[in-house]
Amino acid sequence: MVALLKDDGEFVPTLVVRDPKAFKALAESMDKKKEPSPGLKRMLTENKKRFVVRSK
Amino acid sequence: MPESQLEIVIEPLGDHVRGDFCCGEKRIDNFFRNNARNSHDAYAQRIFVARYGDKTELLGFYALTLMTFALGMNEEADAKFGRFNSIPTIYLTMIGRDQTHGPKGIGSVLMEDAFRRCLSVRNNVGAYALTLHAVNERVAQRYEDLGFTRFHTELHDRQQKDETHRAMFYELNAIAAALAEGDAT
Repeated sequence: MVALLKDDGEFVPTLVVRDPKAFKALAESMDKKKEPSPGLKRMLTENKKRFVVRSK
Repeated sequence: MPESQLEIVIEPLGDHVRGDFCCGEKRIDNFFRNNARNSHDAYAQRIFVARYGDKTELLGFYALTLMTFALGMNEEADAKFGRFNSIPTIYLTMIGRDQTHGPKGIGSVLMEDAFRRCLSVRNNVGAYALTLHAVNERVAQRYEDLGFTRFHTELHDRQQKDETHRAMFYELNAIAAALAEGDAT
C-alpha cells in the first residue's frame, strides 16, 4: 500500500521486484489447490446484503 | 432495491473534488489530494473512486498498477522454478475510506470491486495474483482473514520492525472461485 509512496504523496512505481523469496512463494502457490476463503465469502455476502454497486 | 441497501457508484477518477479527502494515513491522503489525478491520467496506475449514486462526495478509493516478481540474480537459478522467468501480478497500490463520508463497509465494497476488476484485466492480460502492502498489522490480519498470504520477502525481512511494510498476495484463481460461488447464491 504505502510502500510506493513518499511522505508528500509522490508515487514511485516499482514494476519489477527481484526477490527470490517472494518469487518462490508465488511459484509454489501455483501448485496448490485454490479454495475460496471463508473470510472472503463472508465479505461478499455482507456486501451483497448492504450495498448495491454500479461499477463503471 | 430494499430501502436498507446503499447505492454505490464506483468509477474512474475524473473531476471529483479531492481536497478534503481524509482516510487518516498521511501519505495516502497527500497522494490522493495532490498527485492522484496526474498519476491516473498518465496511466502510472488507475484510480477508482466510490460515491453514493445521487451524491458527489467521495466515500473512498483504490488504485491498481502492475508489479512483476522475478528471481534474484544469484541463488535462485533453481530448476524447480525454471519454467518461469517472472510472475506478473496486479498490485493494489492503496485503498482508503474517507473518515467523514465513507460508511462502514465501504472498504470491503472497494476491495470486492478491485477483485472483480483484476479478474477482468486478467482475461486480457496475463496476471497470476493480486499483491499489496498492508499499511499496518491490524490491516494485514484483516487481509489474511480474506485469504491473502504473507510473502515474508527480502523486503519484509529487512523491515520487519517497520510496521508500514507487509507484503501479501492473493491468487486470482482463488478470488475467481469465491466470486463465482458468491454470484451463484
